[in-house]
Amino acid sequence: MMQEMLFAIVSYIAVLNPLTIPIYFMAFTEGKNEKECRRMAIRAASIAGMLAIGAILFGDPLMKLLGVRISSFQIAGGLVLCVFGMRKGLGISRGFVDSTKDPASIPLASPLMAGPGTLSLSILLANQVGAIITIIAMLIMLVLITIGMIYSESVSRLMGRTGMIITSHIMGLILVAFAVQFIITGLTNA
Amino acid sequence: MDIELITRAAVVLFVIMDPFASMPAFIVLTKKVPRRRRHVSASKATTVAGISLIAFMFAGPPFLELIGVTMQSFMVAGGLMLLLISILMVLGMNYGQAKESKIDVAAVLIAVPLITGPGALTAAIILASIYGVWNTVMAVVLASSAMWLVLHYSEGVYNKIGHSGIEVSSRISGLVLAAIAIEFVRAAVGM
Repeated sequence: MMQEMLFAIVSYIAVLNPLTIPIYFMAFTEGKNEKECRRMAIRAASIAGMLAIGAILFGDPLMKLLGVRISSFQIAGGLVLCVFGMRKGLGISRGFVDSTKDPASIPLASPLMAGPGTLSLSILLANQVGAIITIIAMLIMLVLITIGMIYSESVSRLMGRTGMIITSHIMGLILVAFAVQFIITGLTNA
Repeated sequence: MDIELITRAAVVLFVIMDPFASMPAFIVLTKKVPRRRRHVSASKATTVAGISLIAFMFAGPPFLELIGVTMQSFMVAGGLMLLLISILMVLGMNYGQAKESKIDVAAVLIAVPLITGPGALTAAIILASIYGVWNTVMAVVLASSAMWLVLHYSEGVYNKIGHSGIEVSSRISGLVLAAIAIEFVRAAVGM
């Protein structure tokens, strides 16, 4: 039981690097106060948690029903991330602004936290160690990430307006790199 | 330190920093401010651009490794974004243009992502691996200084070649940038 739990947590850490999310989170906190940031972090984590629980419980049957492979899921998720990163990196917001007024749900909760990697891992783990252990491991992971996100806000205050603009644009590029990685994984697993 | 290598790297960086995209944006931005302020913004934009680029050269690769992004994916990403930028340029569409009224913030928005955009960031890391880190740092300093000259004298250049001159140059350089972008992607996937 303990060993299975550890295995599940380590797998989540491998897929969902807990350092990454707070760093991306910072790209979306520009111009928000502390309270809003905290609310956004908790909101993102809870949405991601619900999605992951959904995947753990219903993922496998649903994917089979629809005939969708995990690799297709990775490629699709990668493409979505790609577009997000490009918009962020180039500062394009006109035209398709802000039906995503809520970055907590998209892209933070999904596809960044509960993305193709996490969701497919959840499905795999649920098969292997059982749904309950998987859910507990995933929740532990999300709590760690939430703490990271809330803490990242004070880092961003240190950096100031100029620093945040620059970081946000460079983060966009790194997000695209992350997305390309997803697509490559999807293609090689095809 | 090798003067020839530094010059070669600086020329590549200068082309990718893309004076014909930054100059029009800078002119629009500083149209209404006195000359003195304009010169201050030119220095600010290029200094911020140069410093961010050098900082990324050192911090970028270890950071990418930390979050598990391979150099290959990064090059594809930089190439894709540069491609998007250059297509927007060829079609004559603007991106990243400052909506900010505060000129200091706007200068930063020209620095990143206009001068130090995805192309320059990717190029700096690739150049550092080919020509060595310190040669590339010198090249960044040279290229940023050249950008500073361009912005500093932007008004004069604009008056000389006119609006349509800038427009045409911007489209042609967009085409060159698109080719450079494809080179990045091809280098990464080994074609």
